Amino acid sequence: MPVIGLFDIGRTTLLATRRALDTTAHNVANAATPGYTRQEAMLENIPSGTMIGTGVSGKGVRIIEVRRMYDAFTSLQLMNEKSNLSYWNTYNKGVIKIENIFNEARDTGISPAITGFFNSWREVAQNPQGHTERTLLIKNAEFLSLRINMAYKSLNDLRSEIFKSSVSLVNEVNSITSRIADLNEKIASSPGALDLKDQRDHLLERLNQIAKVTTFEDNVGRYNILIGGTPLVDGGKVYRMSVSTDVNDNMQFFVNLPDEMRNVTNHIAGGELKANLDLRENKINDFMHRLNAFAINLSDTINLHHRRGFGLDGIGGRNFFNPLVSITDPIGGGTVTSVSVVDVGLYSRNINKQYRIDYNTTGGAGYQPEGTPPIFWRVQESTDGGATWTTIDPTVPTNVALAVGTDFRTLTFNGIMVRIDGAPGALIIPGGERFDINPRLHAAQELGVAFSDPTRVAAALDGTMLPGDNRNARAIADLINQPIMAGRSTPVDFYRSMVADAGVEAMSAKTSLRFYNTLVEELERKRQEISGVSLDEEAANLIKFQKLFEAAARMIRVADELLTTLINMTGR
Amino acid sequence: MRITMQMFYDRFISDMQKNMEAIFRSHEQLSTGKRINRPSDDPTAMSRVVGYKTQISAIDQSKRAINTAKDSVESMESAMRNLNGIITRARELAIRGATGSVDAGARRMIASEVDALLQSAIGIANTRVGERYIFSGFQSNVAPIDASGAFATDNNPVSIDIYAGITVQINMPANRVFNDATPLMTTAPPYDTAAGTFVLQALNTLSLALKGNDVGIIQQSLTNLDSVSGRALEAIGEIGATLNKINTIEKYHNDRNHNLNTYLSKDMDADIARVVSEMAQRQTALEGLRTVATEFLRTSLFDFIR
Repeated sequence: MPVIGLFDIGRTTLLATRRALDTTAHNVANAATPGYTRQEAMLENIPSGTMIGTGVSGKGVRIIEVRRMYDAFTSLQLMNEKSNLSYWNTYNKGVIKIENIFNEARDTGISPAITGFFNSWREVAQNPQGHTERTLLIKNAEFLSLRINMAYKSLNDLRSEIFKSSVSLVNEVNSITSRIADLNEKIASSPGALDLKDQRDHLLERLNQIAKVTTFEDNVGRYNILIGGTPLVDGGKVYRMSVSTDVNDNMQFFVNLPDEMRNVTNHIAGGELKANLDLRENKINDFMHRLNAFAINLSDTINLHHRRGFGLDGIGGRNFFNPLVSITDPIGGGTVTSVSVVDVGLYSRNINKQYRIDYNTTGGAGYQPEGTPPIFWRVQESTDGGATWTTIDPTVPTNVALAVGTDFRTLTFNGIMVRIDGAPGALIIPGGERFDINPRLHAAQELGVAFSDPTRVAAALDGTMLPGDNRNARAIADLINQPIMAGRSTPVDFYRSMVADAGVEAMSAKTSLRFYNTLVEELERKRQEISGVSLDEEAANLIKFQKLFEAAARMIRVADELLTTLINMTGR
Repeated sequence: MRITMQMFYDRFISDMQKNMEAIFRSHEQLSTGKRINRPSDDPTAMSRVVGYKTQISAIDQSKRAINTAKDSVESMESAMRNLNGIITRARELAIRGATGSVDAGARRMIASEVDALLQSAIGIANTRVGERYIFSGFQSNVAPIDASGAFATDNNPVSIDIYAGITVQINMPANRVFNDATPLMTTAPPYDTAAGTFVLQALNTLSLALKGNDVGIIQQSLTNLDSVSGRALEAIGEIGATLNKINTIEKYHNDRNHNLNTYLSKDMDADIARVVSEMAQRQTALEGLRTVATEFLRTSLFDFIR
């Protein structure tokens, strides 16, 4: 090999170390960049290329590639768990808000308002002629109503807040997917663009935090991203996501494909959007339905009793609370005296429905007999405000004699129980009987006291035994110990189970959050172990390559000196 | 294991956060004095707490009901004792009037004292507690004995609940002891000897007999007074039993209230000594963490390159 070859070797070394120093500098520069993957210059010796029997040293050094120090398995795991963490993070924030609404640790909870209301009835029973006691009762009833209204409104506000957050998250998804598609094209045209890959992975990680997606790489290194089988990114193409609410105010997610708007709501599997869905359409709804059931049963039961009694003015038959179920009775001689929720689970699935009960003498399609000789009844439901009706099959009614000459029966269907008063004969007078029943959608928000005049409080059971007759007030006060709520629980127990559920929910979310936090921290450490930049290491590399560079420079000088020596020799 | 600076930062931040959170929670417990500040702190205890609070509130209400009941029942008791005193005095007067040596003029004198007793008895029958006539029925704003001396309201028992399921009658309609719906006679004879079973009737008959100078009826009145005295004592006994019942419940409430407050405190209140020592521990850990972090994270190999 000629002496000139030494220059070449020196040159390759200079070039290689320069690039290695570049890599080091780049690593140092990005030591704190989130999602950055450490790069390493891979050195390789250049073989001599000549075939000579005895050993021949090579022709220097070169950089075969700059490698991303990246462990695909850890990264995938991390992405997955970060998606879970993000789910629990959002879920946890939501349930904490629910918990705050039902926080009985402070003295401003709803349960003191419930006991306060019933205690006021006892006060009235002790002094039924007292104006003060009656006024206080109305004030306490208004306070209880207000507390329930407020709790319901807070939950409702929380739902709209979550919808707004979903809208902005969906916007973020669209911005991320279009940036990924953009990067896809760039990476496809220059596969060595390591930093673009880092950026893309970082975007993908954020996307997974919003909603879990599946990703695969095509043959030119582009990511295809699917959400439950529906493409969001297909190479360089982007399909935009959107969110809206349906007629039942449920959140729906769509992907705008060229030929259809595909509903992907059921395919949202993890991340913040799933947490939003679970909170908005499950947890919060559940508490709202329970508050509605509470309000309906409270007003229905109190009203049923209150109508039996008489105010100080001797007038009876008044409601105490505003009725929360609209009942229309266009024909016939019977009356619906009570509509209460007996099963919150069933009721909540059928909220926003109207019911129609018909009676006749002859029966017909969907009619069932009651008593002997039989009269016939039928229950229908409508979900479109009364335009179309379908017959439902309620539990067989029980017919109980209330008093001589008076009958009432209860029909139970879809989680509600309807009590109809009236003798069989009255229900089938010519033309038949028809009731339309419509539980209010936001019953808990509409709960309120029906009057403000304290003399109307019906403490007496006998309108001629005024003012000392306290029997009705005592009967109503005693309802606090009666199973008047759905699931046969007392008012306080019914509410207490809501508080306990809110607490358990918040506690388990907290535990899950802590678990995923630790898990992600652990995985993050694992990734750092491989992909993280260690400044000490880079400093060592810096010294190493600097020394190498210096040595190579000296190599060139030595080659130069050798040549000079040779030239001087021949010049003589 | 390959360690990078970022791993130290992350660990430092997360450990610091954990300690800060623990201190924050301890601080919350100290400032509220409560162990449970939200349902998730201990959902089962929170549920129990709601139960205890409901019971305590029921007992508070019950205490007020007991006071109302006591006011009425004690007034009834003292009224009945006064009435019994009146009956005893009337008996003495009847015995004096029945004596043969007393002349018609003296009997009229005695009769005027009996009339005064009758008026007091009517006054007692129309006793009010607050706005309520305690010897009336549901028509509690109507005086039970009207101007004619007849019972003029309903005889419904007025009950209040002094505790769940325990009721106490806070009235005693006047037709039990004083008089039924028969007005008092103003002239005699004939005397209504059968009506002697009521206090007002017995007193009225005695007064009329004294005025009419009719020794036979005066003696008959003595028997009547004995029997109405028996009635009054019976009523006093009943009222006494009611008072006992009220006192028993009141004592039970005091014990129960104390117990409930103890349970409540056990579930609810923070163990201050423990919280403080925990907080001190965390604080020490946090200080250590800060020192190490500032010392260690400050330097790297770069500092030594010249």
